[in-house]
Order: sequence, then C-alpha cells, then structure tokens
Amino acid sequence: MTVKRLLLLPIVVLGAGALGVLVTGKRATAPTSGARVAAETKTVRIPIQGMSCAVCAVNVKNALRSVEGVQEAEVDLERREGRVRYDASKVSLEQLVAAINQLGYKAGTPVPEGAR
Amino acid sequence: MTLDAFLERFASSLPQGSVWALLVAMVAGVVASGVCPCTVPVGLGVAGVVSGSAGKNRRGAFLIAVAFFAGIVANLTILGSLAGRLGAMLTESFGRYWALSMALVSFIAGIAAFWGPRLSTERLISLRGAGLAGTFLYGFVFSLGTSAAPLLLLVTVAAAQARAEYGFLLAVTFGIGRGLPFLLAGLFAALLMRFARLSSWAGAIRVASGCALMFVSFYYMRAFAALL
Repeated sequence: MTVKRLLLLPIVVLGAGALGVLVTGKRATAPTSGARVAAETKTVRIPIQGMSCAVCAVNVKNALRSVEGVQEAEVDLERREGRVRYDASKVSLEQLVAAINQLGYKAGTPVPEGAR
Repeated sequence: MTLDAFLERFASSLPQGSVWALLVAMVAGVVASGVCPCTVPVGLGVAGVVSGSAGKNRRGAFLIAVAFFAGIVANLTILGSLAGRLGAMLTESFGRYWALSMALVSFIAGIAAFWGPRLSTERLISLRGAGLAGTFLYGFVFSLGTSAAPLLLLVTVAAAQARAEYGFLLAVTFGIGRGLPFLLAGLFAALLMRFARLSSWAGAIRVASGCALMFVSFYYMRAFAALL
C-alpha cells in the first residue's frame, strides 16, 4: 500500500505540474491574443459635411455599419461627425470615407479618438 | 455641392450684413433643400396634400401650397431667435420623435387625400381652415427637423456679425429659400389639378397623391425604426 502510494506520488506531482503548465501557458497566451485584438480595433472620428437632418444621420450610420469590419458607428448631427469603432485588419479608413462619400456627403480626414 | 462648400465660398460676405449677404442666405436655403434627402419625398407629399385638398376652388389649392411654405418660414423665424439652443434639436432622441411626428402627419394627410374627394363641396369648404392650419403645421414640423442643422451652420459662419436682429433676418431669408422648392412643387400640383379637374385624370391623380403621402409616412417610419 505504502509502495503504491510512493509510486503514485510522482505521477500525481507530474500530472499537477503538467496541468499547471497548461493553465499558465493559456494565461500566458491570452494577454497576447487580447493585445492583438486591441491593437486591431481602432476608433476614429470622421468629420462629415452635408448632413441636414436625422434621416441623413441614419443614412450615414447605416452605410458605415454595413461595411464589413465596422463594429460600431454613431453619427453626431450637431458636431457633424461620425464615430466609428472598426477592425483595422478587415477595413481601411479609405473604405470608411468612401462609404460616406458614396451617399453624397463629404467625409473629412479621420482623426483617431483621443488624438485631439 | 454641399451646403458647407457653398457657405465656405461665400463666407466672407455673410458677416457684412448687406443685401447681398441676405441673398446668399436665401440661396443657401435652396441649396439646403437641394442636398437634403427629405426634399424629394416631402416635395411629393406637399404636391399630394395640395392635389388631395383641392376642392372646386382653385384659390384653395394655392393657399394650401402657401400654407406649407409659411410653416417653414415661420419655423425658421423662431429658430433664428433661438440660435444658441439649436443644438437641442440635433440630438438623436429629438430626431427619433421628429421622424415619428413626420410619419404620423404624413399618414393623416394621406388619409385626408383619399377621403377628401368623397366629401361634399360644402363640407370641404367648411374644412378649408383646418386644412390650411394642418398644412402649416406640416411645414412647421418638417422644418423643425430639417432646418436646425443647416441654420446652425449658417449662423456659425455669419457669427462675426454679433447682432441678434441680423441673425433673425438671415434665418428668415434662409427659410424663404428653404421653402421655395416646396412652394413651387405645391403651386405646380395646384396648376395640374386645375386642368385635371376637367378630365378623367382627376381621380387617378388623387389616388397618386394619397399614395405619395403614404410613401412619405413609410419613409419617416423607417427612419424612426432605425433610430430606436
């Protein structure tokens, strides 16, 4: 019985160690993956000329949201600008600007949020 | 051309307070109507209201067209004196209720356009006052949602001239320009009804008018749903 326990002990210790490596390995890779996602998700503010009412704001918002890679889009009629959160690995700023210009409005140079 | 580009081009003349500046403000109103996506559907709606309400009196149809125009000008006159608070009319929540109001007003006008021809001439004459007031309100509500942003831009560009009465005057002339395309659409519809009344087209035009107003109602209901 005692011999069996002695034999089992290293197995348990090795097993626990392997589990620990797996868990810490996952922990070690998780922040790397998160950092990658954070690095690719960007938020910009785009000045928009030519909007005159709530329908214009809806049109711009829908156009931006329909672009693949856009996670969130809001339009502020008073400031005449759009705020877009997007995945930079899937969509470029040029595509966002083009989506607005295609509607007949005029998009200005996008400014990264917090850059002002 | 956007309204912003137009104002940038004439920005130097606006703060001067001259007759030329007022003319620029009026043309800016026309440009604002030209670039606004609501102009075509609501223009159709105004034509629908005019042809739907046109009784046997052709003056009545012209007055209906003028009432919508007056609603826009009156609204901009008030907005001009509230220049500092225009931002409150540009929030998403305000836009939501404005779109809903436009959908409801257009729907009611559409029902009236379908219902109008079934009423007797005496009944139509007795309802003319209500029709004029309703059309004025339609123009007022429409302008409330579509004119605050362009007016804010105009007032900002002209801000160097810090006289309240000048801002007010700019708003009125801008309102005249803003309402002009709708006045023309209404007057054209009134003229069309004058000739159509003599022909078998009258019924078809009235049905088309009702349908145009239902389309406007749907247009704003869709905008309301998108803002929810």
